[in-house]
Amino acid sequence: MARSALAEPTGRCSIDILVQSRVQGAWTVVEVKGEVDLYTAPKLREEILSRVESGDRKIVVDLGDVGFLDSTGLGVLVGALKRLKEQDGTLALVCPQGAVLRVLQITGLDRVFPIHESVDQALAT
Amino acid sequence: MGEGDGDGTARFELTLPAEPAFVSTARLFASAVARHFGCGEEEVHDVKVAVSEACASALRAGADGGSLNIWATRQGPRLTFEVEGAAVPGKPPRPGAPGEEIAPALGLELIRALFEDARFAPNERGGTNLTFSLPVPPAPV
Repeated sequence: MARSALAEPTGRCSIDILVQSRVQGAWTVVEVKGEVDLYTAPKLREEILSRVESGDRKIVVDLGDVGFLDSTGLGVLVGALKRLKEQDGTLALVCPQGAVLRVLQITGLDRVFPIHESVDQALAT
Repeated sequence: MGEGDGDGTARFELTLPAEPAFVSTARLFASAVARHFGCGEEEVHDVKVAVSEACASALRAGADGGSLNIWATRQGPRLTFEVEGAAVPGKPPRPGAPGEEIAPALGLELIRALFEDARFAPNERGGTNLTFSLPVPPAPV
């Protein structure tokens, strides 16, 4: 399936979360700002799903500006990884040192996703 | 419901609508109480995670339409949190997208990894409450 061109960044917003996608080279960067929990995680799921349905196969989720992420957010990321793998795609995370990285490490998910310190590092792979 | 029993015990209670939008309010309450009693930022984050997970679990177990109840009790050197209705692990989760069914088990794993004494115990309403605690600096004399 051909990728649709993202003429402008797409996104979803509610009070507690902002999710925006942009294309950078071969990658789609899904940037998340705010907190990811039971209430806000669906917004992240919807945006990733919408990018995959548009044909994007290399997705980086930028969690650099995420102050909090719990198991609901982890579930969305795992679901997205599964979906992309089924399409021979890639899901990587940008997650600098901090509380969110700790959550990924405690659950062992830091060994399941490629994790980078910055978007630039992720795009270089 | 508040501070100052003279013996160093203080108890706070928060009741919220049992809706996903209020889980962040529960985190705010828990983190404010933890900071108030002198917890460091890493411990405050751990408290936020455990409370968020417990509330999410209560909502998945069907607390919708009712209320989320959270208590914070400082007694001597420990601050204890209790969340009403946090489900017993093993209860079937609500369907989400494929792959996401891992979330409840991850939530439990997080709570247990962060708080050694985390336990689920039956309450009077036929549900289970999550309780966990952490050490806090001594109360000022």
